[in-house]
Amino acid sequence: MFVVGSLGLWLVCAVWVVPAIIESAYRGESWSFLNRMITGQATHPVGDYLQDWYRVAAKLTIAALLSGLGFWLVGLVINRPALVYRIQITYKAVAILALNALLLLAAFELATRGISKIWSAFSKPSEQLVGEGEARETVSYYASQDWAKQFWHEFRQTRRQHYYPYVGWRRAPFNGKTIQIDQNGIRVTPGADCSAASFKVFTFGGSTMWGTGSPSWGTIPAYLQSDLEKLRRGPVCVMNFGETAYVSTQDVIMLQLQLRSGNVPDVAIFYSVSGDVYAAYQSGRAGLPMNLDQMATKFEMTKSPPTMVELLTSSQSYSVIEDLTSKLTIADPRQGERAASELVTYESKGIEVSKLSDAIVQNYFENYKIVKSLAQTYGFKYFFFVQPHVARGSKSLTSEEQDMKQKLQKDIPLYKLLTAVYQTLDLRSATYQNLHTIDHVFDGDNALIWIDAFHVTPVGNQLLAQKMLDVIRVSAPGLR
Amino acid sequence: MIQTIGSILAVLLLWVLGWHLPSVKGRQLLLLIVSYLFYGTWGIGFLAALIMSSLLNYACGLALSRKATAPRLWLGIAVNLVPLTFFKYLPPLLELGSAGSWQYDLARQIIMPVGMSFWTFQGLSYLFDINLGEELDPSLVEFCLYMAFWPTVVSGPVCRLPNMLPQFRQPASITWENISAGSLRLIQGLTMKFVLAQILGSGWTPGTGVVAGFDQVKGGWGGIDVWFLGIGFGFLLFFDFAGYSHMVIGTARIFGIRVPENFDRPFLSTTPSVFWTRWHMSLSFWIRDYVFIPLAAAGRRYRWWPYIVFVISMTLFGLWHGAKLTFIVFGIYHGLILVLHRWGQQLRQRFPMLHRPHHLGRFLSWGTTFLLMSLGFICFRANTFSEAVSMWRSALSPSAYRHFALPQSFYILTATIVLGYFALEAVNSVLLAWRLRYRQALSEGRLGARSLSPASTFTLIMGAFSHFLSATLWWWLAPVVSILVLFAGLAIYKQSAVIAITPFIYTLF
Repeated sequence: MFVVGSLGLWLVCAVWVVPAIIESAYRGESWSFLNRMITGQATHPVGDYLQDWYRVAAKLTIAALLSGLGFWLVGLVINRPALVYRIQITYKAVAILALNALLLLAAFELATRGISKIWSAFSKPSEQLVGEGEARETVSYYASQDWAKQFWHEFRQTRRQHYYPYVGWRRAPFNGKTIQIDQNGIRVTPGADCSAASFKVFTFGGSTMWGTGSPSWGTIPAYLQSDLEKLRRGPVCVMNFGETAYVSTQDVIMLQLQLRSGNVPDVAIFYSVSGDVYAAYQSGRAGLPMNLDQMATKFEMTKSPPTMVELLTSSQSYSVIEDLTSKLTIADPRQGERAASELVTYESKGIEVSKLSDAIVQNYFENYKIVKSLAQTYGFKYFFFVQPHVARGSKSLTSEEQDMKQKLQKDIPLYKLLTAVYQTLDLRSATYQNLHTIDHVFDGDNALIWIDAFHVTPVGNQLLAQKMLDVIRVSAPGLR
Repeated sequence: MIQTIGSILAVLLLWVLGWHLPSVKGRQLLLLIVSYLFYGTWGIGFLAALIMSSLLNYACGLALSRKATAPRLWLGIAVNLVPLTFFKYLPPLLELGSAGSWQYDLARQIIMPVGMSFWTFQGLSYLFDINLGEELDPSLVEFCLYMAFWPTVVSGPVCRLPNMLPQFRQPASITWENISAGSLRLIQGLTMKFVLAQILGSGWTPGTGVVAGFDQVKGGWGGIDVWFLGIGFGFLLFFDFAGYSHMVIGTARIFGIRVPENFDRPFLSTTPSVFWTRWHMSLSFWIRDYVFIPLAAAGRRYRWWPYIVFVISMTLFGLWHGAKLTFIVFGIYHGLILVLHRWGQQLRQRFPMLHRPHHLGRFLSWGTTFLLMSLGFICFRANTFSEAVSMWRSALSPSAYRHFALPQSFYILTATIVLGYFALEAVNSVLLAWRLRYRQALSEGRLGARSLSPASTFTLIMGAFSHFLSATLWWWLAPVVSILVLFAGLAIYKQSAVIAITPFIYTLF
């Protein structure tokens, strides 16, 4: 009786009294000592303080209930002589309920598995998933491209990676209609003639250089190949060393590996920066590869055994109920805010954006210097291009591109870091003769070029390749 | 969310505490405070209106119990109907004015207290009962508790004081039987509201349910569409309101209080008059007792008078839902159907050749009732009267049956739920019959008899199994509910979703 009464009073206080006090203290209308307890009204709405209180109150209530239960059990042991009998009865009831729960769960699991098997045997095979379900696969540009469906299907298939010494990964060999990858994990450039006497151009970078969103003929290296064939006499060999999620250090290592094997280019083109920014955004440190945690986990084999929740969620019963639940629920409107606040980034680790951006740029310049030294030693020309993104330049963006830009800007830590890095590069790039920013390459084009914040259509790649070639021709007039 | 759960928990705990108070008066006072706390969460103004209405009704009741006179009764009726008219019927009339006019602005500012239609009718029934000579002597606290009783204050069922007063005065009766029966009703109600009504309303995929069928398809319904929408909405309303009623009745039952039933398998009714003894029973019985019977008695000299009273009563029933033409027409429609039904009964008595074989007759009668009720729901749910007319026209025009305006999943889902409901009812009644046979055989010692046919043996085995399941209900239901809650909770958490709580339809009335 006393416990129930106390709990009732506590709940009344927790739900009605304390929130009212918090609200008045927030407005500065309560006693001065209470007013002083609340600071930061300028940045936090009163709801934040109330939420904090409810969290604390919920924890206190649970703690009080558990302790109460403990005291009650102790009291029971001390006061009741017939306790053993009661324990027997209770144990029997709990045992029967637990056993029934297990039996019913097993029966339900068997039934759902059986029904699922029968269903899959009789139902028509589901339509093959075209791509990865990403928004970029459905931008308006692809609606009129008859190769698009095939490309995104093959793109999904080429996600299989192989371990590659020193750089971590490259794609597995693949021979599709729109994507071809050779035994070394290099995306094949149509028309490239890599005979001994050919003019060799090595291109390095991340997925943008590799050609995400473009079939073999529509990548930057493919356009460089066709343009150079028109410019030069004799065989031309443009090799695409770009790979998804590569950072500039991996590009340099790839170059070193080629040089070590005697494969020396005439020109080396580096097209990166966004990979370096994203990797630092993930890990909070500059100069590391992307997805370092995942790689470390694989290497260290630290995968923990499945938890009870994982076991439950892997059952067929769970997927049936999950399916039904999805019909009865809606997405939490605060999900986006929460996901952003829960994501581990450099910001959540307390790292300053200016320091991190300086370190990223410094690493990038060090890689530049290494390439410069290698170029002098091996006798090739090199060009670094700072990769543009959807929020750079003065292109008149289409509504789809506006959405992509807004989406990028919504990820505040990433956008802040990206902006800081590009600003630092703008300030310091003048001292690096072969470093070029090409932000305005799409300025005159009103049609859709971007397929997401960093990748472009084949049309965009063509413009990029032309721009690169223009720069190369100015810097190396003897190209012809 | 935390605050809502906290409020409900606080109310429940105080309720438990109140139920254990040794003093009846102290308990009633605490229960009243709990009810006011609960109702006050909707707004202090609403609470003030409820308290004011309770005090005025109590005063009128006292006056009537001293001397029941017509002016006193009419004053009591006015005390109830004037505020109800002001809050419920005046705003729609004012809103007929152009947007921006003072009438329109005033209408926008008038907000009807939650559940006013329900507790006003409770106040009226108290006055009518006293006027009819019922000996009721509630204290002020008891009467206020009757008006504000927290499980029923929001959307009924409409209670009667003669039924509630003895229960408020009885000693505490939280028993295992009450907890079991109440919890079962609660689970039943939650399933009806949050699973069946939700899916039927929103559809298997968003925007393909009954709600979208009425709100998003603007004209162009085919004949089949209209029937499916009528049947679908009837079931949606049933699952929503009967689900709510189950929850209310279950919650009250856990604490040993039995509030009136509101639904009794209405879609199995074989005549329209039976339907109205099974659908929203607390309101339809109210109308029967306080409107139909007195009015019918007043003009019993005239043979046609009961028919007029049918139409008046049902129009009032429709009007109770709000000042909308569709509700009024809904009431008139059902009034006319009851009149036709009465005529049909009289015709059958006069012409015995109209009798059909028992089962066929019952089936035809059931089918006709079901379809007529479904057609009525179209008018109840349509957004405007012209929309209802357009839908009815489609249902009655043969050429409209070639056209389908709704997605395929809508027809499949509605048919599955409706047929599933009838199948469940059929299985339930068959099992009930077998269980009775088993019990009878058990009591007569016929279980081991060798003369039993295979069919009888099967019936008895199934009856025994059903009896076993019923006797050990919580041994299997508790694990089932726990597993479902665990999995559903896990899925909601992992999907970062929230339960799509659509308001109870009857909280709007």
